Amino acid sequence: MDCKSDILLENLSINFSDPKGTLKKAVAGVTLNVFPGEIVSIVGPSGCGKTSILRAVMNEIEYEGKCSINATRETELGYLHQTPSFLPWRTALENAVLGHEVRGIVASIHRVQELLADFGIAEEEMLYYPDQLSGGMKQRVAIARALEASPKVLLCDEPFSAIDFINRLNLNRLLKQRLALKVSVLLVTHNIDEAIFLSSRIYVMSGSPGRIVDVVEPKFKHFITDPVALREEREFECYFNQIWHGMAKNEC
Amino acid sequence: MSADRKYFTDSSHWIALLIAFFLFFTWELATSYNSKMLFFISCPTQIFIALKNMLFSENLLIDIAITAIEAIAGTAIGTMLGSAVGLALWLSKRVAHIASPFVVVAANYPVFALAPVAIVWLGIGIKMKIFLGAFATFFISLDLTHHGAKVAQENYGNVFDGFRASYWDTYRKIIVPGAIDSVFSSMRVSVGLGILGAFIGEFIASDRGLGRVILRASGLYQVDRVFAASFCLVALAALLNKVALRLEENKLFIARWVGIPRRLRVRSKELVDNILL
Repeated sequence: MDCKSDILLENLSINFSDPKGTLKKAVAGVTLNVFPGEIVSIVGPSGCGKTSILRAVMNEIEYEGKCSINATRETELGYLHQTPSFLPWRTALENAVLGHEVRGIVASIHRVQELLADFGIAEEEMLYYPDQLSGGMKQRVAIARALEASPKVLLCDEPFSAIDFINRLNLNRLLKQRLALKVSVLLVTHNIDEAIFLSSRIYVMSGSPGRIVDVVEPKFKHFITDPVALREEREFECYFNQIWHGMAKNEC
Repeated sequence: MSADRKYFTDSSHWIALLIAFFLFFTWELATSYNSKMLFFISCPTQIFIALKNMLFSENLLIDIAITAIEAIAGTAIGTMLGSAVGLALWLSKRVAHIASPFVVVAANYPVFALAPVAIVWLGIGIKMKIFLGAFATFFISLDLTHHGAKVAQENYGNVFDGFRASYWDTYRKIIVPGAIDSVFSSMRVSVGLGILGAFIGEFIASDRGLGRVILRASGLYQVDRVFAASFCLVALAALLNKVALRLEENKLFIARWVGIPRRLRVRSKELVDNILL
């Protein structure tokens, strides 16, 4: 393994059986790496195998090729789901401390409260049970839960897909502040703006079977902290078009 | 509850009451002109008189209480043991797989066929009836709770994705509290089976209880007394079912108690007191 990478995929291929039992290729020859403290995105149309790549990294499905996480970081891995699950007998706050509880670390409730507050969860809302939370609130609690466990490597599977536009921008901003240079992130998304704003490198995928068609490294004159201001940058349109054309090369 | 829904629920009760009244009235009418039919199926008024006599002159309440004690003890023991084994089976897929055919066979074993052997093992006292009640409920609780544990894993298993949680952590923080729902569902099913077990025990050998009352009345062709005791049995089942439903209302509290460390529960309560109250 490349000693510098926190996540390394080399020629990764994933097959699946269709209803007739025929073996089909979902992902073909994907090679990428995520260096420490770097946010890397995989952007592609729905169904091109982005989530399957994350599941291969988690070792949840069979794959061909090489797929590894830096062994020293493996125990400090976080995963953010597209539709996160919660334990219905725990309040939002109690759900958020799960990571620390499992690792046997005495979590400071106060710290978790602060983290939830940062993500826009009011004090009363922290004591709500999951069925009393809206979809957006659930997603924010899930992000706080993943970050509360202080992961060194974070896998994100379209974590903002269920959140409204305004909240999405706020969370993007918060996530960039919290994660920048501290956590190695592999983010899967189909939102090009989000990928450009958050990532230092973007792997563009195209479908049938899913493969990487382009690698974009967005570089701006200054560090962008506001996703709204991103669109005003001169380089933005250029990167957007490059990614857009890559994704559309062979629609799923 | 919306006004429409309240109206609908209220009217449903009235309609059910009307149907019951109509059935009893037809029954009474059909038997009042036919003495043969009256002998075979009795009639509501005779049953009511028989019930009144049994309650006030023959200590029927003691028989009801004895059957209730046997049923409650049998259901409680069977449900608790069955649920505990069902949860424990989640820990080993291999053991669960090996145990599966035995559970299927034992769950389908007729309690009636076991009753004569139970007399040999435990005598004709209350222990035998409690055993039959527990046997009738044990396997169904085991099966439902084990299924509940598997469903809990499917529903909440991915909460620990990335946390690299141990098998034991998953078990006590997700599986056990997540299967509490199934424990209570199995208890509601078990209440009826527990009464059946106790009744069969009394039917085979006893000197008190509703089973004994029914057996004696049927031997003397006193159909009205048989029906009167049967209605008491049904009422007892309905009452115990209501109790089970009441207990089920506390499932969140129990799930929290088993699934959250005490320290965190205490801290949460302090926050609730400070913020919400």
